[in-house]
Amino acid sequence: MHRHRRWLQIIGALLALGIYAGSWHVVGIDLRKLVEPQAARRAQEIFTAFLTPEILVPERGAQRVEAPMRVPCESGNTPEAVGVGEGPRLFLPPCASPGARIRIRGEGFRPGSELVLRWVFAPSPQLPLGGELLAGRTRTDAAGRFELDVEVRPLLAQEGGARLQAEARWEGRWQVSPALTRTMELTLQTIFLALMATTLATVVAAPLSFLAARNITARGPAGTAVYYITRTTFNVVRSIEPLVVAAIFATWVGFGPFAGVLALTVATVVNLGKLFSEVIETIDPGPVEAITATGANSLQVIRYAVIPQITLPFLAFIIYHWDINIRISTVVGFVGGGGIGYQLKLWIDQTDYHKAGTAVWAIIAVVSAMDYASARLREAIR
Amino acid sequence: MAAERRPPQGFAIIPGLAYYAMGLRTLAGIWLGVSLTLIGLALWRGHLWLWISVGLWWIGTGYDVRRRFKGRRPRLWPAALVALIAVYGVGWEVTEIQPLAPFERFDKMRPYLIALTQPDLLTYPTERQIYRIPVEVPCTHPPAPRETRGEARIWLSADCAQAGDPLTLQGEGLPAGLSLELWWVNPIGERQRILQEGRPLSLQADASGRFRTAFLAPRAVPLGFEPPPGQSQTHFLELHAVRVIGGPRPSEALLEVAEKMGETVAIALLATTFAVWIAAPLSFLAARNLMGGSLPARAIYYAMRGFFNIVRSVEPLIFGIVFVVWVGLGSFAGMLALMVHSIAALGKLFSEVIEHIDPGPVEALTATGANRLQVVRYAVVPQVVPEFVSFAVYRWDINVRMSTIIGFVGGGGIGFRLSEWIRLSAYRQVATAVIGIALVVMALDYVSAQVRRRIV
Amino acid sequence: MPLIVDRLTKIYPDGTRALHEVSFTVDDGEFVAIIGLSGAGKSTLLRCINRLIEPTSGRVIWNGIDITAASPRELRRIRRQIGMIFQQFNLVKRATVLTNVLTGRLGYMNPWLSLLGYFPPSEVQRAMQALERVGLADLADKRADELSGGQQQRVGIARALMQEPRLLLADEPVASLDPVLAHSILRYIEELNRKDGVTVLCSLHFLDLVHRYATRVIGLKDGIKVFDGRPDEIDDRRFKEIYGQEAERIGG
Ligand SMILES: Nc1ncnc2c1ncn2[C@@H]1O[C@H](COP(=O)(O)OP(=O)(O)OP(=O)(O)O)[C@@H](O)[C@H]1O
Ligand SMILES: [Mg+2]
Repeated sequence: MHRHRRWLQIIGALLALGIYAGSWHVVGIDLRKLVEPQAARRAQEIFTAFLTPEILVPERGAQRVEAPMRVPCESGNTPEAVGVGEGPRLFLPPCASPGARIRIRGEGFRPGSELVLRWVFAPSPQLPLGGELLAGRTRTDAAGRFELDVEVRPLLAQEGGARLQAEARWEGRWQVSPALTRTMELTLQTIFLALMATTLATVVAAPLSFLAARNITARGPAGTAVYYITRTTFNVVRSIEPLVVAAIFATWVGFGPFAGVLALTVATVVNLGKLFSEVIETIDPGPVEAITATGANSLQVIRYAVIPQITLPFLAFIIYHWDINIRISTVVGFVGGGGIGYQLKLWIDQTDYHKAGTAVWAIIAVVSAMDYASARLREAIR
Repeated sequence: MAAERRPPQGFAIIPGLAYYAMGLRTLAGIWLGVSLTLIGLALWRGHLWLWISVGLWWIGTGYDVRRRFKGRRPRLWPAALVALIAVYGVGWEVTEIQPLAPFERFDKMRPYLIALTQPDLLTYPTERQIYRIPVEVPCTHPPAPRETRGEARIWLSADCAQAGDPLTLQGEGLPAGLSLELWWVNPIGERQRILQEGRPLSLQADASGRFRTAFLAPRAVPLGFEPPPGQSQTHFLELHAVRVIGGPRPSEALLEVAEKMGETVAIALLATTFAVWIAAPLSFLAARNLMGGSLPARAIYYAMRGFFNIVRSVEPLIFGIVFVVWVGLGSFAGMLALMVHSIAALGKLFSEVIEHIDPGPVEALTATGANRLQVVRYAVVPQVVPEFVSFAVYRWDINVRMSTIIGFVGGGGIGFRLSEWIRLSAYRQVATAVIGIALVVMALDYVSAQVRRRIV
Repeated sequence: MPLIVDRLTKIYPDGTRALHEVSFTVDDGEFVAIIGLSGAGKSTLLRCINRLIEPTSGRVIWNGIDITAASPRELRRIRRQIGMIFQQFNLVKRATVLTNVLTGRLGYMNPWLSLLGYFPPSEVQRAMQALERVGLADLADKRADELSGGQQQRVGIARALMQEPRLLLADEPVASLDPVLAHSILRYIEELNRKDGVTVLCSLHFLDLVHRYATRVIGLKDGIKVFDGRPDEIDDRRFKEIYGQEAERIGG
């Protein structure tokens, strides 16, 4: 007997070992992949970016004025500067000789901003894609003016001239980043997605759960059949993750939050249906008996003996599922179901990790808050 | 109600304040919360009706306050109704609900429902014999019947046709009961099945080896290869006589689903196992009753708690995309994603188990002069092991479900194939995968429920 | 309008024979105590009378109407005139006391209106009167589970009062209460019996209570009627017949 046990244990251990070895092989575990230089660099990049999510960005602005300049001048000497542009104005001679230093002036630019002058070449046989050449840098003064001497390079003569562009750039006040605004909007959408799904599911699951409650339905052969069919349906559908359903529904009703709502509704109906029916099965039969004895009909019995007993437990489960649905709705977007998930995946695919970090922190905040709130609410209604 | 204080009437102008003054603090809090929510929604969406509902909410609660002032029964439902309508109205808009879309676009869903009743499970190895009949497109001469002879005799009603022309095909001398398929091949070799009412036309030779069928010539002229006016191209009508040789074999999709389900379960198994071994020791650091004493201990306690809570609230799929960037596509990334989420989830549950142990044995062992590690080893661990195992099995259950979708973001397992099949509208393969998932998940669900019942 | 119970038999689906050919007649205004060991069939008998349990055979005739043959609709009309009180009170714990009392009136109300939870003011007033009668008017707005056991049973009586019953079935109404409360509850039932002339069928465990309140006793043993007479007729021999040879008589 004892020896028999031993053998069973050894066989069990070997079996477990085999299963684990197989799994290890199938999953392709390779810890080196985690620390390979390239992988490690990517990981570091992601995590540092996540720790510094994009919340505030400086307001950026730029002003640009440009004007053509011929090189060399037909007349040989450089004429007087003329002004071009409205608002910010740029003063430069219409043509210049190669090698000359010409004075460029500007006015009406944003005071105290960084100013870049560059030559912009049109496409030509030598420069098939066109090109740019830095001409000089300075800052505008407090009145928004600048003055800069610029050398007319030989390349300009080759091309017969170029457009001179003056660009003033500045960084203004810090403001809420577009990524944050987008994240907040999508987070709200996520919350509403979960809310709508939970509400719809409750409306459907509450009546269905009576069909899946043994003490209500399982009377007579027809009732018993209904009971088992409902039960089995709940169990089968429960085993399919809402994301699979969402992926299929996205082709049905089109990409967007509505597909997510429907998928979550289906998942929630079966989960709530099961939980609800268990609540109904464990009600106290006493009041049912008492109210039946007063001569009430069966609808009145349900209304006055069953419903008061199940309302609060139902509510607790509904709140709990709203919480779960918020978690899931953060990712239904991955398969086209709306909410924050789609944007998050997009940002990661575009390696915009700072923006992705914003979304991740928003998810953490919302999910934790809901987790806490739902626990407190469920305690309060007990 | 007798206990309610009666503030001056003027308070009714701000209902929340009136509730507060009446001593109904919870109600005052709820009033403030609802008001802020409604105003926030109105600011966000900017609809006039939302501002109106803010006003109505104010009026409705004010009405309730007045009733209370007059000592009548409270009546909050009108205000509550307004708030609900506003919230659900915004929800309806934000989630872009189109109640008719599921019906209008039902044709997109029907193939899935049909496929669920006929998943791609088996194939029969076949041998096909092909009869080719040339057809000129379009007609440049009056059409005449055309006959082909081989082992069988086949007649086509016309030797030339244009897309949409009715054609009749008949034959004799085929083996009885043989199934037949009709294909159309255009001059550049593109092959398409002949359809009837949107479904592939398939027929069978009768007991005497004859068949007869009518169909329409399909649109098959290749774009950019249209014949010049007055000339024609040669297309071919192919009759495939399909003979089944040998018994049923599992289809390619079935084999693939089976293999990938194995991988799915393996991912879940390893993720859970690793997570348990990592979370179990960490959870001791997150148990208040063990980490109560010194300041550093408390700091560690809060740090672990915070870590668990933050990581727990990030879905495994989000970790999935991060790990795919980190270690590349494949099961390893999926396993890591599930593992990290499970560590946090299990760590929290485990630490709660530890917090709820019977303090008696701890006290007793401490009294014998045992050090802290000894106390943990002999007074805490024996108490928590059964519940740890139970939670671990429960987690394994969740992880099996999760690992079926971790592939949606490139994390291996069945999800990867499934998402591809969904994208390609390979309905029958999708059905095979969905059924496979349902069977495996339900089976493991049952097993884990049994295991947990044994333990607890 | 007597209550005639004629060869009533109940066999549960699992084969247990809880009642076997029980017959008796109760005249108006009687206070009948039903006694017997645990499992003797007291609860089964009471529930067969208003068909909370379907009898296997036999008849129950009340007011000249055969209850056992009544259609569901008729049955509800009959039930609303038969009050019932339970050992476990059977109140809806999460509803208020007032709502619990009002549910006693459901059989008289428009079924659709009642589903909305609306009760006309006249009914609310009637409920308050019933609560006043059992001394609980000031607890009307409390939740039923906030009440003590004795108070809950008084709510149960008030619910039965709402039915304006002609017959009251009480299944061990005081078994969950201490002796002092037991007397106070039974006094309410006695008052109903004496003042309002309601016929009472009440199963009881303690013989002293039987002697104090009942005008007649029916003894059951293993589903068979073994005694039917006045309380003072129960002597030692009869006692042993009902309660078995080993039983010791205490009290009474
Ligand atoms: N639903 C049921 N199914 C099967 N047998 C039952 C059922 N209800 C009661 N019985 C059996 O019928 C018999 C009579 O039960 P009943 O409840 O009427 O006894 P009682 O006299 O009220 O007992 P107590 O004093 O304990 O309440 C018992 O043997 C009991 O086990
Ligand atoms: Mg009983």
